[in-house]
Amino acid sequence: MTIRIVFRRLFRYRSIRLTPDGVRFVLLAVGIGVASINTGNNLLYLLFAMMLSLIVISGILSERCFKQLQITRHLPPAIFANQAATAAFIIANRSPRFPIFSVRAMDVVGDEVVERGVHLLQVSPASTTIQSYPLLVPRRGLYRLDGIKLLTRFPFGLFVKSATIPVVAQILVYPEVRALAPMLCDDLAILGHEQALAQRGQGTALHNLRLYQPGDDSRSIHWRTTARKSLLIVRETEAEDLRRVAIVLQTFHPESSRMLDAPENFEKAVILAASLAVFFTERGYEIRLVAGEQEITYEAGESHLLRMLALLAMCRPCADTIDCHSPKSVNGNEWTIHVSAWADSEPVETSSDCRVLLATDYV
Amino acid sequence: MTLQRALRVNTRVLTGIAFSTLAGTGKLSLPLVVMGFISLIMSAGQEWKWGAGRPKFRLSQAGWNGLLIVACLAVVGDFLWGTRNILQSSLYVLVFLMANKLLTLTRLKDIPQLFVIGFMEFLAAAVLTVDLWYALAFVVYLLTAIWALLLYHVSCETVQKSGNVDETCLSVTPVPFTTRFFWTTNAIAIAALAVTSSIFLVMPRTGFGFFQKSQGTPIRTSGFSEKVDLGVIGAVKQDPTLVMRVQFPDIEGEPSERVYMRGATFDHYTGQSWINSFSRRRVVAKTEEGVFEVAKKSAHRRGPRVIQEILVEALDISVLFGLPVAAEIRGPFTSVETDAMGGLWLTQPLPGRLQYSVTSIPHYLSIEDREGDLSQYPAEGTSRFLQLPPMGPQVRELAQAMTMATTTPHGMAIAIRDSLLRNYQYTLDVGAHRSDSPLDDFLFTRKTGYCEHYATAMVILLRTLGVPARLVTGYFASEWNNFGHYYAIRQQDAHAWVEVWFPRSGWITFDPTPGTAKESSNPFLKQMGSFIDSFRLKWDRFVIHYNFSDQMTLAKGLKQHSDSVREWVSRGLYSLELRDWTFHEGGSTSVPVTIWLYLMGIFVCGLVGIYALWLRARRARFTPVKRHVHGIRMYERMLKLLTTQGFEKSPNATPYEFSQRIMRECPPAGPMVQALTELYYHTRFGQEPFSPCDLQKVEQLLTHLATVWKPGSQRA
Repeated sequence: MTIRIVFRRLFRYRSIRLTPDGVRFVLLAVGIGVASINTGNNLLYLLFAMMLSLIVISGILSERCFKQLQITRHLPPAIFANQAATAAFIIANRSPRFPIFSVRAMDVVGDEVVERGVHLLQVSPASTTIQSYPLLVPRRGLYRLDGIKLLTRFPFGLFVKSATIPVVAQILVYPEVRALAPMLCDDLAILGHEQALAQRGQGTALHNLRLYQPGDDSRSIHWRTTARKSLLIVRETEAEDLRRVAIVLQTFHPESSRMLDAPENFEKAVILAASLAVFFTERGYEIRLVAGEQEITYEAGESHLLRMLALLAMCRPCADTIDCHSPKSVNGNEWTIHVSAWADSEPVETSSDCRVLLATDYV
Repeated sequence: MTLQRALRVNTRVLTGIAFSTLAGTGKLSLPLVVMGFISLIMSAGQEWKWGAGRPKFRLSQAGWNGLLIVACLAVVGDFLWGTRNILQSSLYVLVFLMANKLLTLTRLKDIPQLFVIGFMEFLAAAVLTVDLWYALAFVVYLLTAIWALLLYHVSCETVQKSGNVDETCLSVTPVPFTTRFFWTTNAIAIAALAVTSSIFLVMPRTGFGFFQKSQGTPIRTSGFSEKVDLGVIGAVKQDPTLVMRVQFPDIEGEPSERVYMRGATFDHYTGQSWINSFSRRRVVAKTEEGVFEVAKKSAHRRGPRVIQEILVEALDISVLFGLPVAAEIRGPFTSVETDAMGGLWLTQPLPGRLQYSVTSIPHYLSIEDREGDLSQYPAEGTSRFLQLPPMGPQVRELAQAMTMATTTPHGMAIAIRDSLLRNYQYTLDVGAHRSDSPLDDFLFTRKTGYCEHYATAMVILLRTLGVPARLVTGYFASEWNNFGHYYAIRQQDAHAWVEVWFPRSGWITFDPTPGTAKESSNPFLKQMGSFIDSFRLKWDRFVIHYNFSDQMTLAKGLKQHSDSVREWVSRGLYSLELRDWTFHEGGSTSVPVTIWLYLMGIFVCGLVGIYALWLRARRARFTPVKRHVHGIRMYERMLKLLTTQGFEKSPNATPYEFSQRIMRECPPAGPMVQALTELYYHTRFGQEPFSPCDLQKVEQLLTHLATVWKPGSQRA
């Protein structure tokens, strides 16, 4: 590994190619070189030497540009598929004296170079500049940036020199989140409302009467019961908005559904599951997510949402084979939303308090 | 100045330099020169008045096409009836294209076309001239070209970045003319010059040229043909044209003896002309090393050898000059001929300048010959050099009168020489009338003349006394160049002298012509002239005539130098080891001083390395806090300045709101305040620390802001 690092540092990948102006320049230089050798005229040799020196200096200066340039990438913490995010290149000129001219920066993704529109005309000596660019990733999952490619035509525009810097970055791309259809929203809004878990919390309904403890709010004293029992009794209310829902994403697809659009349908299912997770998180629900054999237990809040999205980002469909584990079962007494990508998938045994949503109907 | 204007002006300057260089060769016809300069001036005026916009008066495309046809016809006509040189004829089209491009320069893509045309002109100048001023033109052209290429590159990048198809962004983008940009560009130009020189020196020379043209019109000389009329040398005695330069690489400084560069020799005097009666010439043998041996090594006399490096201008003769007596010649010629009198010729005059080296072995008068008399002269073999023209007895009588006090041939030669020096006056003005006996006129009538008369008189006088003598023509070197350590020999140095034969010593040179005092010139101008001429010699030697053997010499010199340095270092270390210097560590062990030196050397290198690393780390560290402080101080200065002018920022106003207020209430100061506020935002709240360029920009903005309220400026 050390040898590989050393080798990579010593021979940082460089490539060079001629611009159209450079082609003409080189051809002219060759012509003058031939003429000078043919005639033995030393002044022609002088002009030939001048043209060669411009080529040499072009190479030296462009290499120097890369040597004194330090570039890092700044990525946002969260990216959603098909939603533009802002990434940035932070470019620093380490030289205290010499500016850097005409540099372009691009991302290297696999074997492909992605133009980001980052084009710097000048970077002053000992200064740093931040160049932002939009980052749009079409698919969820791990998005890997293998490196940064720098291009320059400095100083004379005869050659395009490029350098690839192996700055690897990986970012988790969450599934796309879309707004749910209004009818579905209405339908889901009342989900679990009548099944609110009887728990103590903020509310108006009576949950419990108990003896007064020091520190209890005196406004919660239930005077009628207190008068009857001649003991200070306080009233505990029932939590009104504490609701729970389980979202189950079906990840295995039956034999009959192995069509060409099966992956696309699964993606729609993931989008729907993610959208549901966001919908319920915004409404303060406790959510449990089951995706195949993976599960995230009930919890609420932003961080829980991100964990669920991370799980959805990485989940993959599996074929109905021996290797595919059976899905986690859901309890009979919880509200469940089954998100399915395929119409002919086997239904999971549930109670009557569940919904089955076919992704293709809603996405 | 905007980027567009800077690029266009620079391009015109570059083209102007290239065209001026071409015009300076003297090979352009006057109409072309006039046309070229007029187009440059019109183009400059166009830029001044209209910039990048379309000028009011412009030629249509049909008009330009018509002019192109005229130019093509001019090429044909010049080739068929004019110069008959395809290169010079094609210059018509080149200059026309330059004029066309200069006067129709509108878009960015026109710029590289003009670059190419200008370069072609510069290239043509390189073919047409070898003069020293081309060196200066080359340096100026290279420096300007670097600027032009950089500005063009910046312009292209600006257009690409802005995605501006019609290039209007260039007319509003200022040139990045910061101090750094200026010095960076100049540093690139100087580096280009250094790299060019290095490549020029090491680029291998093949040593042949198929289409080499003669460089320069040959200088017309006099006095070196097979028959020379008396008086021909006088025609060139006032011509200061440089003919050759002679260096003596083995002699430090100026040679102590007089330098006579021998050209042609004459033995037969008709009474009005000198003729070389030795019509047969033999080809000089060439050794394997490429040396022409004029005389076999076994026949060489013993004596000091004098090597001369001679650079001759293009002459119309094939004579090879050198000190008497030439033993070897080296040069870029295929064959050399010689005759019985030691004259040297090429088979035909070579085009262009000629550089060659001659090794001579001067003859010195032996004591026996100095004291011997005429009886020592052999009866046969010298009759040619005793030939006399038809003449009266007064010449013999004069000779006898001059040599009454001596009986030896050497004494006679000295006496005649001294008599001529003493009793005859040097002048170039001998009248236009062609005399029947110029010698008699000189000796008895005018008693004035120049070198030919003096030499002829001495030869004839000696011959009348039975002493073999002959006339030699060549050049007398009198102008020593202290800067370049060579003799500069001009047409006016053409000279005639005498060679007298002695049995043991051979032909000995005598010069009966009195020296002439040259017109005193301004010493400063003379020094300047010498300096420029020495530079011209170096230019000729190391650029124009630089060849493969020079490269080998350079390589050998470098190797020798590195060997000598290595030897010096090892000798120094060895001498240290031999000495019995030791340091005693506690009296038990002794450490040789060489090991101490090595250890100290390693220690010093380590210290230097650590210091370098520390410096590097220090430079790489960024101190954001320091740069934020700069931003705050800058903003405070601006606020202070505005407060003094009655614009106080209220505490609850943001910097942006305050700048908007200034824009409304004081429009002249508004743009500067806005720019400063943006800079403040970038450093204070963004992540862009101040760079030295930003600091410079801040100072400029604050200075301009302060001038807004000065009397005389636009009132707020």
